[in-house]
Amino acid sequence: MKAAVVEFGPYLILVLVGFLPNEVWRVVGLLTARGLNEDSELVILSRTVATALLAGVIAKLILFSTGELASIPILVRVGAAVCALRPFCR
Amino acid sequence: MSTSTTFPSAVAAYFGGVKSALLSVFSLVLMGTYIGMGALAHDVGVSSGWLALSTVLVWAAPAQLIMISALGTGGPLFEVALAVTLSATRLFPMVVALLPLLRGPGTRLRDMLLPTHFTSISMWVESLRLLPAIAPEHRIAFCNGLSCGYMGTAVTFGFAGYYLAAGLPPLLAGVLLFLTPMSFFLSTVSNARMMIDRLALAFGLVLGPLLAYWGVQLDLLWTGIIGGGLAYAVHRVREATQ
Repeated sequence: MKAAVVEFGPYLILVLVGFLPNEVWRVVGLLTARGLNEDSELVILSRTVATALLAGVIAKLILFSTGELASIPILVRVGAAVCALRPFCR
Repeated sequence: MSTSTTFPSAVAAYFGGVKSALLSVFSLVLMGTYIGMGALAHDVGVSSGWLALSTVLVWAAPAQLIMISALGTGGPLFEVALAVTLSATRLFPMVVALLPLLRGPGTRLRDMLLPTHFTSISMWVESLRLLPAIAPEHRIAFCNGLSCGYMGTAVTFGFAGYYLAAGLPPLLAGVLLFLTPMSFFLSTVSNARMMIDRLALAFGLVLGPLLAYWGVQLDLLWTGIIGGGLAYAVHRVREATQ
């Protein structure tokens, strides 16, 4: 194990380096969403930003795979994704 | 969504949420993700209890992955915290878009604390799909049940992965890893019923890999801002011309 972990303790690192930097965005979201209803423009814009960001994550995971998934050819990965869209095309 | 599902009590709504979680494809995804996470945690040398606590406290697979792999390589803690907080920016628009769906007339701020903490990709996608059909007074309980179902699955399979530790055949490991993007992809597509959501999805699918390919810093953040902003702009222009 690494010096930093020994020095600070793994649970302190979990809170300072994992929990707090992650949770802060949820809390900012909570404070921002106060008093907004689901039709308000900021909520609609937030939904499109979150959707586009998530779509970016998905496309990157499929196209630029790492680890064991990279051993499956890219044409198979993209082909599987495109085939899976069939039920939605009517 | 003309008829809404009502539950006899908040407890029944909670367990309705747990059931929805366990029957959804995302449970399968979380199994795959957290078996991998458990194996990684084992390799890095943290305890299985630490992994379980990080799943409950952080509840975001990308942030956990960054933190655990950085503990393994021994990177500077400040850089790890920065990488975690950048990966977590996506949680902000998700919370803003989700909470108004949950809030009823008598909802207090403290009722929102748990759903806020529970917000993550799988829970967000399923909540946006399922909540409109749930009676407003039971949405928070349902959402908490849904989240606890997912979190319980993740913690359980984190332990499983920890003790199986990389004994998986490579092809099975590859298939487990493919579950994550495919299930996110299909559920986001089926959620995008309105033109504005479809546009955001399409822009994100194109921009994400392009910006990454061009080596743009913070590529995912820009994908969200540019893709989401464009979809919103098109929606405003269409509304104005109708």
